[in-house]
Amino acid sequence: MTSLTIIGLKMKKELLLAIFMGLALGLVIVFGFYRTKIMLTPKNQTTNTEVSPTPEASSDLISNLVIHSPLDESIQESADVTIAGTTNENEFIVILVGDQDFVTTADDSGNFSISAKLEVGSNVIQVKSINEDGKVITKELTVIYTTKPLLGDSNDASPSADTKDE
Amino acid sequence: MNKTKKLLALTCLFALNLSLATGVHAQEATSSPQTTQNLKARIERIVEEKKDQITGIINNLDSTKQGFIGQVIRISEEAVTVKTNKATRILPITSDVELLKGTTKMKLADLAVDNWLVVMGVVEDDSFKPIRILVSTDDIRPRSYLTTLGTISESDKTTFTIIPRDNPEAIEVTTNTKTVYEDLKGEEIKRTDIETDMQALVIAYDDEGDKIATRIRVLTVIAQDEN
Repeated sequence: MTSLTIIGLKMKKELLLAIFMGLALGLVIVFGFYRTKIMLTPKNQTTNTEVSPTPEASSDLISNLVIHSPLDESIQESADVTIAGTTNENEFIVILVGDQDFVTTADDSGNFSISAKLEVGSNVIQVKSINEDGKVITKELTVIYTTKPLLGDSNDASPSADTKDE
Repeated sequence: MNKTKKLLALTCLFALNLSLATGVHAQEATSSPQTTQNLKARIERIVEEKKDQITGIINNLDSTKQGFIGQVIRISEEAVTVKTNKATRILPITSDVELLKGTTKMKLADLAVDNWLVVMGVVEDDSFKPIRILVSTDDIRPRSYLTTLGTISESDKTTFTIIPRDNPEAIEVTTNTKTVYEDLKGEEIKRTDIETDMQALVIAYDDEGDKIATRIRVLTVIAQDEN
């Protein structure tokens, strides 16, 4: 009886072990399938290359007006200047260069560009972007136009009309 | 027991194999020709849009030169303090600095508070070094401008009254022989083509309280008579 009991106990032990290992193996397999399924499912975020549109900001809050050219506080030795920048699409742009005024409209990408002539000396350029609500955003920059080179010939005694005699 | 151990070892190996396989699948899943195509198109579009910006930057590569305008607020033995629209700057005036009023050379002692200066120099080691300073006793800033978008509510021979879209307070602007009138396309029109209730973009400067219109652009296309 005792040996039978012992055998019986041993068999129970092995049985229990086999059941446990079977369960563990089953769980591992199921987990493996689950992970594989997740990895193979295409994730929308990684393939979405569309640029989500910038939320329309209240004109009181954010200015999208950026001036790319010319550089503020720059010096140039040519009277020709291109004033270019970006703002919201289709907005009116008013550009004031000294006593000259120019009106243009930003294109569908918000880009604008005009050509103007600088006066000798200082030129304060104001760029105003006006939205459909009439809100005006202004950016100002200064460009100096000199006919006398700043570097190298700064000791040249020849006169030049670098100031506006008013 | 040996059998049990073998079974356990096999189970562990199998589980390890599965996790590795999962990892490999994970790496392969991210590549997509469509994504590459979309990215390429996007890059080309951005390059096209930024052309002007890049050109501007290239033209201004000579960024060591710097110039600004300001008003003198203080003069000391070796320096002058200038107030610009951005900041107050102290400029060291050495014998190398060229001070000019018109074409006449000046000395530091000739400067006065409230003089307007056009300062030109270079930036070296993050500090500004003036090279040439043009002096003026008159204000060299441009006149103040008003820009507004609104409805023309009234008009007579010399004035227009506009109600801005962003402000219910009406603005009266005066016109003169230099005022430019144009339609939405920028085509020049006659003053008489402008009627009340039209939407218009108005640019005017301030002249001792009066607003003098330099440009009035109506937001409509006006057909011109072919005479």
